[in-house]
Amino acid sequence: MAERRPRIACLLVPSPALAADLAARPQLRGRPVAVSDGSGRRVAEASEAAAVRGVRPEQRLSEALACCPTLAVLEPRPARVRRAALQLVEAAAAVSPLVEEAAPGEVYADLRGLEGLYPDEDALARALREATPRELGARLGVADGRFTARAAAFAARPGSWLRVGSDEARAFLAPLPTALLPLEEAAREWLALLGIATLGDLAALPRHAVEAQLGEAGGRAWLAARGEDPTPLAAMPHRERVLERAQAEPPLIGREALLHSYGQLLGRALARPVARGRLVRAVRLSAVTEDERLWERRRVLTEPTGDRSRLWTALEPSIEAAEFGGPVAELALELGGLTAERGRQGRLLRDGARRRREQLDEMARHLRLRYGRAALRHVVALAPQSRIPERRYALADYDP
Amino acid sequence: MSAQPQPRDGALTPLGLPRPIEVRPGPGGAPRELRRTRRGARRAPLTVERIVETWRIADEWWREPPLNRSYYRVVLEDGGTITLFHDDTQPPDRGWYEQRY
Repeated sequence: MAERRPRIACLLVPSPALAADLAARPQLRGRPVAVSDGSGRRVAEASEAAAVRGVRPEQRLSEALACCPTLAVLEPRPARVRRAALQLVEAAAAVSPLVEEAAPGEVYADLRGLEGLYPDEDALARALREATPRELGARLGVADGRFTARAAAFAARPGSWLRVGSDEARAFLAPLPTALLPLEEAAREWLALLGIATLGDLAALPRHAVEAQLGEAGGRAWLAARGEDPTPLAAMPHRERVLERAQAEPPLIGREALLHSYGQLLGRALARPVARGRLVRAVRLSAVTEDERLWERRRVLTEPTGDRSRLWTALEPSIEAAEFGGPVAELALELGGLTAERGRQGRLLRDGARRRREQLDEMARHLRLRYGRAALRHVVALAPQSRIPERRYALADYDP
Repeated sequence: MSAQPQPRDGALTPLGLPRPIEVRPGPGGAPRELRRTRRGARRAPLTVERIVETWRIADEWWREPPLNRSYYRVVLEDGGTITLFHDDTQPPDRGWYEQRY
């Protein structure tokens, strides 16, 4: 019987801020480099050459510089990191329709059902690596479970890939540190206290003993340590959106110029065939400054509209009040939550109840978009005749 | 059994969940005095003036423990009428709940 093909690929850039910076400044490769955190006081990520000299994440910059006087400290560039993270997602999406971005620089792809497109694993891995920008040094891990795929990606060298079959997963994971497990700090401390340093140590314990101490998360960690991670891939839903971008050369400084540019982007977005005649529920604005700072705002509209002047009225105050942090080199505007409706039809006959219901449904969809979850609840009858009062009715999400 | 939980995304929240209440029973086990709690603070005790009605529910015998309740519809000294029940799997001075509909 042919061996079953692994199901999950993990594309990993362990230090995305550093990788994005090094991609832009290749002359720093191989040198001790650190990226500071948002406050500019601590180390967020450090290169291997810096780590060898004692520089580590969360260390104060003053301490890091004392350890390594030749350390090059870079400011965080969120726009650069976001762009690199999107490139990873796009690379995975070029190969598989089911992709999850667990964190910036950590992307999973479901490989099931791709046999017809990629006859062997080498072809699949090659396609994934070719779709990934080489300068990011992404590592690829391919395995049957999500955790094993991530561990394989960690173990792979930058720019290379590692496959771990289901029959070799447990042996592969055994010598790796428990720090790789997705556990909370308290759980990690408990493992360290008991001297459980490797995944092999954890997998050798009885499951009930681990669960008794760490609960459900402990059970999942135990399964992961044995190469049996049951966590499914949470594929990103397909979002219909209209994105318009513009590069500004020279970068824009004046508020008027920015307002004019965003106005143009809005006009272009609304003129796109996919948006024509439809209503918009949300608009995302973003700007990248000359020195790669990122500014983002999302406006969810009180009522969906496709009218340009009403959309502009909603967006203008955000742009007026924005603090971009420098000359703007790149702007983007994204229309989201596009309704299927192609305009509002007046009614010849009044049907008040139905209209009110439609308005309520529309409001419920709007609130879900704004808060990311169902914001309205309604009463549902579970067992109205039950003798036990609390079994009769319940509140459920109202999700039309 | 617990107080009304906070709604979670996607979860059903039962309505009319019983709320724990402090009750001092009389010699026969019927409620004699009760004390409500409001926002974590105990309020003054209220005497049960009259028991209007009593009934029992024994159900879900397959569960551990099975559902076994003695209900009391009572009139309080302030004139209010409420429904209480005692979880009969508990000792007489514990396991009292106010049942709302």
